[in-house]
Amino acid sequence: MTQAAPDATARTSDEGVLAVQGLECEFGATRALRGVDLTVYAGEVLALLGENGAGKSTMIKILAGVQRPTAGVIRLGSDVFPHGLTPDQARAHGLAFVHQDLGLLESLSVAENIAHVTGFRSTRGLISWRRQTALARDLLARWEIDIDPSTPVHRLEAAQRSLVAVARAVATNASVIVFDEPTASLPRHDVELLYGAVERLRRGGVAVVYVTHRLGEVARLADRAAVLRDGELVGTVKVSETTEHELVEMIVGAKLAHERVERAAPGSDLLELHDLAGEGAETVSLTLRRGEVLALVGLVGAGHRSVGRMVVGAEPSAKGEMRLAGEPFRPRTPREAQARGVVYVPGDRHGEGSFPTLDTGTNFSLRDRLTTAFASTRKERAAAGRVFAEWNVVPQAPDRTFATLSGGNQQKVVLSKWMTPRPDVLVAEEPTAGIDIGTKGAIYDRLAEAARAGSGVLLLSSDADEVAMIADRAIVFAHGRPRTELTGTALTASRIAQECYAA
Amino acid sequence: MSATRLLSRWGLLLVFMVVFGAFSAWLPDKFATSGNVQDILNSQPPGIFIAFAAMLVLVVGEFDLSIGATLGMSQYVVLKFITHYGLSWPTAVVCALAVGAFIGLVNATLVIGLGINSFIATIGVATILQGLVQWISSGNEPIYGGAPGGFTTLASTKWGVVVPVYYALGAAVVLWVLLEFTVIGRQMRATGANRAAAGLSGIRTGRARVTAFVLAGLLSAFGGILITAEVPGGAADPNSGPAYLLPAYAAAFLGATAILPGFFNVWGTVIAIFLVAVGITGLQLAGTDSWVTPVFNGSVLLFAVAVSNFAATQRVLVRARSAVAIRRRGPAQAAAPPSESP
Repeated sequence: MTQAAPDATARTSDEGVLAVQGLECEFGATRALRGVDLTVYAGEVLALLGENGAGKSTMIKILAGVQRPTAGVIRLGSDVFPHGLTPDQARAHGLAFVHQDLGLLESLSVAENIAHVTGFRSTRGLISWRRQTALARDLLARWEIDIDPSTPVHRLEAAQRSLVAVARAVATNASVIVFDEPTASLPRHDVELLYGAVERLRRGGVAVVYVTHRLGEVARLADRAAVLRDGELVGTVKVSETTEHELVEMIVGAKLAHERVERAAPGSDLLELHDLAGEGAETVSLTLRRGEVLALVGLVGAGHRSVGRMVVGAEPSAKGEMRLAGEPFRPRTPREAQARGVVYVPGDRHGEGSFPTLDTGTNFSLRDRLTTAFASTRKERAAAGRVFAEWNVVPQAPDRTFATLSGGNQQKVVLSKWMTPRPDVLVAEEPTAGIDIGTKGAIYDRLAEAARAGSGVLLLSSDADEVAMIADRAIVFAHGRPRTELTGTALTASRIAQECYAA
Repeated sequence: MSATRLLSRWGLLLVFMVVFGAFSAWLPDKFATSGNVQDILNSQPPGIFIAFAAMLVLVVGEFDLSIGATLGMSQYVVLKFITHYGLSWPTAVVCALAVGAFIGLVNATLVIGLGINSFIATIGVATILQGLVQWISSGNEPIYGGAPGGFTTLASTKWGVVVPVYYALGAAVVLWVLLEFTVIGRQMRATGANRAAAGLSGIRTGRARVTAFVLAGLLSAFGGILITAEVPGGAADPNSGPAYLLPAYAAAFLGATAILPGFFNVWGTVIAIFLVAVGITGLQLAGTDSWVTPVFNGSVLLFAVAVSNFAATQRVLVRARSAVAIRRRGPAQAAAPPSESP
């Protein structure tokens, strides 16, 4: 790919094509962005890095015009926007986006997908499909993409789709293109095609903002890297002068040494997996002991979540063997797993973990403790109320609609449901995602307490701090397989992050 | 309980009483007569049964658009089994109910077994049933008579109203107890509220949905049997089934704005049916043109649902504000129970 991208024009590079100054964004009490200053220059690739919740997606939403900033100025070329952008302004001023899910209309043809961004070519008021297809063919040819424009998008390979998304983004002569984790859903061997496209955009003088979790990509593609943490810009560095280790330190931060919760040595073997394989993970062998918190860690799609879901019967396992307390164990449904004392706290609280429209008492009871008659319903509610009191759920009354509670209290309801009575094996997926720091501490104490009392806790997490703090062991997953096991002094947040991001 | 909560719970009943009172005052010698009240009560049972069918399937988060066709089908099944095949009338009734349950089972198999969207699956089944009715009725001809007197005692009069009114009341009580006070009923509710979460909670969501479809088939078949028994000697009309479908859904949705606001429920559905019936009867007695009736029906439905949506958003806003206030007060105070009741 030697030829420059077709829309390349000389741009002033000293001022930058895109700049934000003092960008702030608040959602209620949370401050997603706190005074971020950032400039992007023509012909460079700027990697935007940070943990989940660091403010990357808020930043992208503001640039796309989907979210209004609370304060701060956006400058595009010579135009200044003091109150944020509208989606139309963003587009008109040369900002284009390749979203993580690509934003393509799956059932429509490549030509029509392009047309929805560039506008339709028409003859006497009606769409001219002949001219439309010709335009799409030109565009694909300029990018050396060998696809018939009339092909429906869902018939394309994953890599071809991402190229169509890129071609579509540049079709509007964009001067800044934002990529939001473009390789997260791509098979490994297809990413080269995408790297080629980014490379070519840079040479064509386009400014590229590249959001990613993978540090390998940063070293490979980016000129500079900007790191966000807790809504603040930690710094902007030249990639060629920075080691991967330094980047991880910037992303994770110099964390306070959390007080580790100490427990007695783990007891007998509780759950054994031998060469387990399913749709999302394979070659998984591990043992969870009584009194132990074992963390399975990884980025999205790394396979650790699948292992947890196979253990609780929410996902089928194709091969391999599981044993629970020495007995064969192969749950086909969550119900069967529960009957053996294996319970699951899903990470998607609203989608899978709760009944948001029902009251908290019913949420608590909807498992194997439903009763039938009037009096028992009262007993059921009283039992829920007692547990909520013990867990400090606010408001404590079991007749409140679940959706009206704060995130932390919702999570307490869900966890208390599954931890009463204490299960043998607790599979907890992202148990503290999106909740405040105080509740986090309370939940860590609960998990530790359950382990101390003899449960085995399988923690599925992408939060390195959390794992370092409460896990006895951690197994890092990548590409559907266990990669490394960390124990003892190796079990630190930065080491966990290194292992995850290096994959 | 706050005034808005009370109003959203009992508002529909209040509207019913206002409409009833207004027509009574306006037409004292036509509307406010015991004869008219009996007429209104007597004509509702088939509609109530099919509205319960619609409601039960909505509770589990699915649609059943074949209930109208099932109601039409069962009219023919029960009457043909008596007149054509010479079965005793109780046997014929049992057969018609079995056919209804079987249709529900077919729907359930298509939706739960084969994973077809329930909207599509039940439109398909409804269309097939209408074709079969056309075949049995030799080209959409209504049939009359031939059933023994015993059969029509199903719809005889007792204590001033027809017996089906008591059946409907009985069904309402049974379904209310089922949904609120039995495990399977609450599992049905949970399945409709969040199927993924229900499955992960160990609830058999398939069984809950099969139950709803089969009960819907039974209830609509029974509605059809009552329609047939209303006429001396029995009568089956091929066009009556589909006409019941949309009013049944309107009643279920309207009913979800009352008693347990936000949830499909038995007593709300009953109030909705009588509100619409009273409105229609009043308008007819006042001598309005027939086109006013559907316009009234549709307007009541849209108005009630709009008002209840508005009330729900207000409630959520108020709670969100108080939740923020709790967080602002700081964790120490938030950990204590809130001083004011919600």
